[in-house]
Amino acid sequence: MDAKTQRYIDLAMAYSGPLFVVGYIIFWGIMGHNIPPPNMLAMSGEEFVANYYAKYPELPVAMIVSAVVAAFYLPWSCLLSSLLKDSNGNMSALGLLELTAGAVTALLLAACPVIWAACAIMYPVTDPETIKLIHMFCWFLYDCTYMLVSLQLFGAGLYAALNKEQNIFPAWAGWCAVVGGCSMIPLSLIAFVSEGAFAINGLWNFYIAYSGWLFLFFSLYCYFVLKHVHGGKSSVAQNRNALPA
Amino acid sequence: MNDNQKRAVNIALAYCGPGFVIGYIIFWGILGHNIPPVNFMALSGEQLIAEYYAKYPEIATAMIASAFFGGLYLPWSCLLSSLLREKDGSMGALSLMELTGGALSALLLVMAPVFWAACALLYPYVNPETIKLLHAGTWFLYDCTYVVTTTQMLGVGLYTIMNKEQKIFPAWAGWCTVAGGTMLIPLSLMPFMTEGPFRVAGLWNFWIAFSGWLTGFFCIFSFYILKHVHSSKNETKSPAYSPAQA
Repeated sequence: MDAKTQRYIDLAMAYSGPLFVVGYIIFWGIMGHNIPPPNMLAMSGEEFVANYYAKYPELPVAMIVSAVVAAFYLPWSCLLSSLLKDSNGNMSALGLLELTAGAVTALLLAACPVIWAACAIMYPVTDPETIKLIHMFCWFLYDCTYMLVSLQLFGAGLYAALNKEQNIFPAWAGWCAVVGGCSMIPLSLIAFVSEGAFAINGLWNFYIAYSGWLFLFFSLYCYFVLKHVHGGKSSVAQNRNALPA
Repeated sequence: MNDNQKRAVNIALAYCGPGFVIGYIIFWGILGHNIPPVNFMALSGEQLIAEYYAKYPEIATAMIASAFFGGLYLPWSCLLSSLLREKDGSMGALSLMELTGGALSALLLVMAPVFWAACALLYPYVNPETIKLLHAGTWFLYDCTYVVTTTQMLGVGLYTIMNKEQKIFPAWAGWCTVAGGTMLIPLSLMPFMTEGPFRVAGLWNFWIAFSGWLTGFFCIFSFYILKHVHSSKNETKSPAYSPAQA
């Protein structure tokens, strides 16, 4: 593949990240009424269905589209991992950690909305407590598997923080990603807390944890990835060029 | 690992692909009565159970066996990504797209049949509408997450089209794969359709979309992979390139 073609591919993959975030905020967040999400743990099944699925008929479409745009996180994660190379030009263990955790995260981001779409379509003919159970089950799957996302952030973060030879990502961005990964740990509490900062829609477990991922990891890395690919170097050779021979 | 061992491993991985497709057609398709699947969106919970789970007692076994064969898609995808190398022998971002898209597709191919097996085993004790919800939710998971498979196909397709120096796959195969991946997009309409070509068992969303994956991607790339692993005795580092180019 010639360098020009490689650059176009890299640019397309680099912009798939912002496309995912913008699309997911619009469809999952705004149209899906998840900013903040309903606090289902504090409601009965009937209250929950009346206040969420029955109230917002646009939810099935919003969730199915969310599942489509979620997958744009996958090529972005692939491009990022292809930049995390060791001094030989091979993918490092931290690069593989970023790749695998990012891929699994992309699947979770797509899989949970389609189950919520099923709830949104089937709630009129299904017992409300069953709908609440499936809805909660998906939220536990979505939030309490944060460790996979944290591992992606640790992989990308530690590479940037500790690999002083690479010059794509500054070390401080790496430490920010590590902090962002750590900020998700209280998400384990959503299963047990129905009010306060650690509720599903609480100050920490929604606003701080999600903002930590967005601003301490995604926005920073997205900026440096875009800066790098706009610099005209391909994902295969550039990082090696960035490292001493 | 010496060259003979590596070749034997590659041949085994290459045959995992046909093994997956044949096993999945037999167990998920024929024994699982999914060619075409039951149109659950047009049925009530009781109708779904009467026309599918209660009617075919072999479904539980068929789905558990499908989960086994679904896993064989993973080693085949790994072998394919290992062939999509750059000039210097490294794996580029498109190769990683193929790898991760294939791995996630394999997980879905394994996971969804397990959920259907649970429905098949538990339907006598569970409210029919709950069974329908789980059955439909799993089909949404299976069909509406097509984008991970499309990502895999775009990765391998774009590599094949744009990488004019590699000599394992012809460029037309890449175009077929890109077309096949794009044809999956209407699967998003499946949850909203009870009849017509875009329903779960419809002309487009079952016959054309699934055939597009099978013939536009899998059969073509499986043929060229098998041809490559059976003919290459001296590829060790950068199999996609001739020695002069590597």
